[in-house]
This record gives sequence, C-alpha cells and structure tokens, in this order.
Amino acid sequence: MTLAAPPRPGGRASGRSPQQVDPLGALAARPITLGAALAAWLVAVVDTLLRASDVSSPWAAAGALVAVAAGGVVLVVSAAPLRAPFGSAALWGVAGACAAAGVLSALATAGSNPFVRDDWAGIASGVLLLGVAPYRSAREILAAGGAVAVVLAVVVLVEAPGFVTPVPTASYVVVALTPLLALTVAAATFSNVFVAHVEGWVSRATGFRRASTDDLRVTLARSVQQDRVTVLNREVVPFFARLVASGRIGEEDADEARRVADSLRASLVADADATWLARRLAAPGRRVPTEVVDPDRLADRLGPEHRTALWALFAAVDDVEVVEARSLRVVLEAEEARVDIAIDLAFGSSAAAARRSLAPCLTVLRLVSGDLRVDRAPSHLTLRFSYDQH
Amino acid sequence: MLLGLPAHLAPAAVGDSVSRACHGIAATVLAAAAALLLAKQAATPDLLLWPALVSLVPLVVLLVVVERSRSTTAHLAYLIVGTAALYWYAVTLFSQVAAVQASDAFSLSLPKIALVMVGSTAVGPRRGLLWSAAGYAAGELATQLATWHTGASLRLDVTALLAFVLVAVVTGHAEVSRGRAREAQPRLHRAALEQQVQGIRVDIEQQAAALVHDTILGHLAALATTRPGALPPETARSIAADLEVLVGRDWLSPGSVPPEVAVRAADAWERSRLHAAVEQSRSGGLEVAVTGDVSAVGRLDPVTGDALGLAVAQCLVNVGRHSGADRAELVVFGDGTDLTVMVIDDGVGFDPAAVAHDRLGLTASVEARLARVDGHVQIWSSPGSGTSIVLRVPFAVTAPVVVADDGVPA
Repeated sequence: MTLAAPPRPGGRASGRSPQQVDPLGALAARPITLGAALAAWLVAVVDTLLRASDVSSPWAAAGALVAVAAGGVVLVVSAAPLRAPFGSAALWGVAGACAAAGVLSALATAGSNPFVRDDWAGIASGVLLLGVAPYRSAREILAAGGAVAVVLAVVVLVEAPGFVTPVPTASYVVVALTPLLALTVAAATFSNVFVAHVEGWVSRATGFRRASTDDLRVTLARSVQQDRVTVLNREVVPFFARLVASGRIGEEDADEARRVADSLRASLVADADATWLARRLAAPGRRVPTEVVDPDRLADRLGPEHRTALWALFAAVDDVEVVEARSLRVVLEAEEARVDIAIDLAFGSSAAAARRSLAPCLTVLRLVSGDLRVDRAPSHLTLRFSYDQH
Repeated sequence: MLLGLPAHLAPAAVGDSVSRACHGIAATVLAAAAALLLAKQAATPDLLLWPALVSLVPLVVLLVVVERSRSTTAHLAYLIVGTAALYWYAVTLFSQVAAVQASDAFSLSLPKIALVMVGSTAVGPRRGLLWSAAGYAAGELATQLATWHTGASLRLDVTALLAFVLVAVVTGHAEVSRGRAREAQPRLHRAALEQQVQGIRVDIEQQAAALVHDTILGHLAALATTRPGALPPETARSIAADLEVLVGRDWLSPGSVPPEVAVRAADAWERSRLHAAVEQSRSGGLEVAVTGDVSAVGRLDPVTGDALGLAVAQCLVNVGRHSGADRAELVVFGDGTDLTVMVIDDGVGFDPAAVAHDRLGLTASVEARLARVDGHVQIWSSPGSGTSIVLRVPFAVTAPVVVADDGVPA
C-alpha cells in the first residue's frame, strides 16, 4: 500500500536557496539550526574529554573547541530572522571554522592519536553544514563541504603514519571523511529537493492561474467597462444625446463641454496617477482608516516580493480576528537610490499584543526587506524599512 | 508573486526532502563501506573480502528502488534483504579482517547506518521515524547475530545510535513545527492572487482611459471651441459612433478586433488604424506626409496594429494642438523584428520632462498603449526645435497583453 505522496519534482532545482523560495519554511527550521550548532559543539567537547589522555597540546585542543563554537555562533547568528537572508559569506565562515577546528584538533593530538575514527572534526563539521541546509543552495553546500573535506584529508594524510590500526592509508581518509561527506550530501540533497518542491509548486500554481487569467480578464473588463459607463452616463451621455438629438449647439454648450471635459479629465488623471498601494488601500471592504503619503508615487518602485508581503500585512491589519487596528498611515520618501517607507499603526489594544499577532507577517516583511525595524509605543507600532528603486 | 509553500503542502515537501536526504546519507555510507573493502583487498590480496562486497550490491539496488518508488513493499524489501546482507557482510568481516573484532567497528556501522536511513513512505514525517527505528533494530539484530555466531565481542554501536538520533530529531522537529511559523502563508497566497487581479484591472483601466481620452475628451474639446449654431452632421455622426462603441460593445475584451484587418500587406495599410489615423488628421486640417515602407504595417498582428494606430493618432492630435505646425511627417519602416514609425514636426517643441498636467495623452494613450503590445516610444523634443516621436512595435506572434505572473506589468 502506498499512501498519497506529493508528486516528486521532475526537473532539477535552480540555484536558489530554500530560504529564498520559502522564507517561512526557513523560519520554521530555526530550532534545527540551533540544535546543529549545539550538537556539533557537544560532539567536540565530549569527544575531547573522553580522549583527554591523547591530548598533547591543550592549547590546540581548546583552540579547536573555540573554532567549532565560533562556527556554531556564525551559523546561529546568520540564521537569525533579524539578519535574514543567510549570506554566502556566512556559509564560508562556517566552513572556515570547520577547517580550522579540523587542523587544530589534529595538532592537539599530534603524535599521540592512535585511531582516526575517534576524531570528531568530520562529524562536527558535517552537523554544522547540516544546519546550513535550509538557507543555502545545494551547490554551495557541496562546495563548502568539499573544501572542508580536502583540508581534513590532508590532515589525515599527515597524521597517517601515527595510526596504530593495520589498514591502508586510503582507509584512514575514507574513515575520516565519511561522516562529513554523508552529512554534506544530506544537507545538499535536502536543499535541492526542497527548492525543487517549492519551485514545482509555484510553477504549477502560476500556470494554473495564468490559464484562468483569460476568464478573469473578461470579467474584469466587463466590470471596468460598467464603471466607465456609469461615469459617462452621469453627464457625458445625456449631454451628447441632447446635442445629437437637437442637432444644435446652444450658447452655454461650449462652457458645459469644457466643464464636463475638466471633470472627466480630472477623474482619468486621478486614476492614472494612483499607485498600486493607493489602489490597494482604497479598495472597497477595507475597515481601518488609512492615509498614504506618497507624492512621488514611490510605491510603484517596490519589487513584487515586497508588494506581496505588504499586501498580506495590510490584509492582517484589516482582520479583526488578528488585531484591533484603529488607523494606518504609510509614508514613502526617496533617499537617493533608496526609498524609505514608514508604516504607522495605531491599535485599540496594546502594541505588544498586536506585534505578537502580526509576527508572521512581520517576519515575512523582514525576510523580504532585510532591514525592517519595528518601534513600539503604548498603542502604536511603527514599521520602517527601505528598498532599492526598481 | 507567489512566495513559499502553502501550509498544507509544507509537511509533505519537508518529509520528502528529509527522506531523500536520508537516502543521500545511505548512498554515501555504502560507497564508503565499498571503498574500505576495496582498499583493504588491494592492500592484502590474500583476504577473502568479495562476499562482503557482493552483499552490498542488493542494498544499493534496493536503495535505488526505494528512492524511486517509495512504496511500502520496497521499504520492507530494503530492510529484510538489507538485514540478511548485513549479516553476511558482518560475518565476512569478523572472519577475515583482524582489525574488525567488535560489533561497533566503523566498517560495520556503515551498512547499519544505511538501514537507519531507509527514509519514509508517507506524506508526514512521523512514519519515517518508525521506518528508521525498524532499520536501526534490523541493523543491530544482524550484527549481534553475526557477533554471536563468530564469537566477536558485543558492544553498543554509538555511531549507528547517533545516526538514528539524528533522524529522530529532524523528523520530530518537522512534526512539531508544522503550524506556527506558517500561519501567515494563506494570507501570502491570497495577497499574491489579489495583486495579480489588481494588475490586470489596472491594465484594463488604462486601455479604457486611453479610449475615453481619445474619443469623448476629443469631442468635448472640439465642442468647447465651436460657435453656437447647427451641429455639423460629421461631428454628430462621429459622436454617436463613439458613444455606441463605449456604451454598447465589449470593447475591452481581447479579440474584438475584426479579423479582416490582417489581410494582405497592401490592403492592410489601407485598412490599418495607422492609415485611419493619418486620414483623420488630414481631415482635421493637418498636412501629413507619409514616407517609407507602409506595407510593413501588414505584418503586425491586429492588436498591435490597432495600438500603434491609436498611439500615432494621439501623436498627430498633439502636433495639431500644441506644435503650431500645420505639417507633420510620418516615416514608416520595418526591419526583421520591429516596425518603427517616426512622427516628426518642426513646430514649437516642448520639454518632455514638463508635461505633467497633460500627462494622460502621452502616458496613457501613447506609452502605456505601446507597452501593452511590447512596443516602446521615445520622444525627442525641446522648446523651439520641433518634435520627433519614435514608436517601435514588434511584428506578429507576440502576446497582445503582457502581464507578469505577479500582476506587475513586465
């Protein structure tokens, strides 16, 4: 019996990272990241203590433990939602710490290390790289794991003459590298398969939506046309109908034509000038009183991901089930090539409670924007972030 | 745009990713076991190691089957055959390799870990944990039996146990963390859809605004400067026809373009909106000289041709209204991919950066209209030196409307 399983993605995943394609998924993986950092360090400490008698250089042993701890700190700090996204430099920082720990731990037991299989550097490095899986692409994880493996292999080859087990040198290398390689492959596979799943879903969903766009377009066209006809029926149609019926242009008709033209033009220009943000916040059915200050129409320079994140935030703000919002004010200002956006929210409840309720939306905004700041006053929240003009 | 997986699909995707990561570990440790055997055999040719190497083959084959099919049968076969193979492998090593004398030897841990990494058949992660536990138990059973049969010493294999703990922690976490962080996901997806709808609506509203601008506002402007008296029959007819279009038909739906527009090149020019635009301007008193390869207009698809014609009409209206010149030149030429039309006048010119109050004519009627058919427009003008407007549109086979998935015009 096979239970319903999700369709496996057919094509290969692109070079994107799980965090890029699914920010909330990466957020959910945070405990695993913490666990990996802690586990790598524990493995190193416990193993060092168990083999204390082999340690010939305590300083190097301590250095190795510091290096693996540093790798863990880089991992955890870089993966913090406040610092998202997890950069390539952080991955290489972790890899560098792993390599350093490998070299130092070998120095610590130089000349007195009887068994390669007791060495912890491979396992600790592999566990740290496993912690990177939700944040970087498979290709990068493989590259980093491969680089650390090369360093560990060289270390083992140098140490090999001191080992007491009667096996070929190649076996020492295999034994030392297997944990690292296995965990690197696991991390890269996870990253690759997960990205392929998300991208597969997004492309299926997008394809489906594109197919239904034609129907949507016809419906929307009718609705827009209806709006337009309603506007024209108010003044233009009766005016023209009267002129055509009478076949004459009267004394006041020139003035009337000018007046009707001005009001029609004004409404057309207002429509053409409205940014997506102004339209979004003026949409029917919104509950919270809103003000948008955006004289330079900077909202239209936001990227599509920012728009989705903000759109979702505004929907949450309007939802009484989520927060008791009293007012919303959005101010956009250009600062050279960047745009600063400030969102003021007033609540009927405490700002702390509102912040908790809005936390998932704020996290998405933080992951998308990279520099979100949230300031809190008794019943106010102010969100600030900036973006490049697209 | 769509951002991330919907909450109900996330456990399945995470479960499958973890499962396949497990298979990655299994493949790596099996390769390592084979490499150790080959290295040992090469170093000591007297040893009889090939039975151990052969015993890894069914494990590798079944791992591939498990990875491909994920059926319960494949998983069961992997564990049962794997247990037997592991027993065979352990007996061979115990009897042949002096360094392998206890059940926690490194080369024994490797295939045991491969059994732990059996992966999951199910959508959720919970069942994967059961399979891994079964794999761990099977691996220990096989090695303990082999230990007992060969008289080697029994020891707890910490490496294999840690591998099982790793799987347990990762799957356990995936199980616990289902809800929390993904609470915002449905809102994100709704936002993406609404954004797309807004994009389409804005696009249609721009078309509507351009049409209203070119027709109704044009008539009103003409009426505003007409002296009282009889309404010219030409004007009355034109007003009636435009009202008919605006109030009557589905003028915003794509495909409302009559197909006969796309006929042979020579006729196409006569019938094109571009030609109509020129004739309209001429009847309005502007002298329009047309040069170049007008038959190239026939290679445009009807929607693009209409958009271009309406855009040029607006350019010519602007020449008549603002340039002070009574003559304009239209140059038409086509290359391999694009049709280019230049509208040139030697009137008073203007500063393109300072057309804010009359922006609708240029942005909605000309720029936005061409952008919708993948075309673009460039305006060269400065006060006192005339105006050249270059409009470029691609020839047929382009989609009439370009809206990206996320509703943002591409």
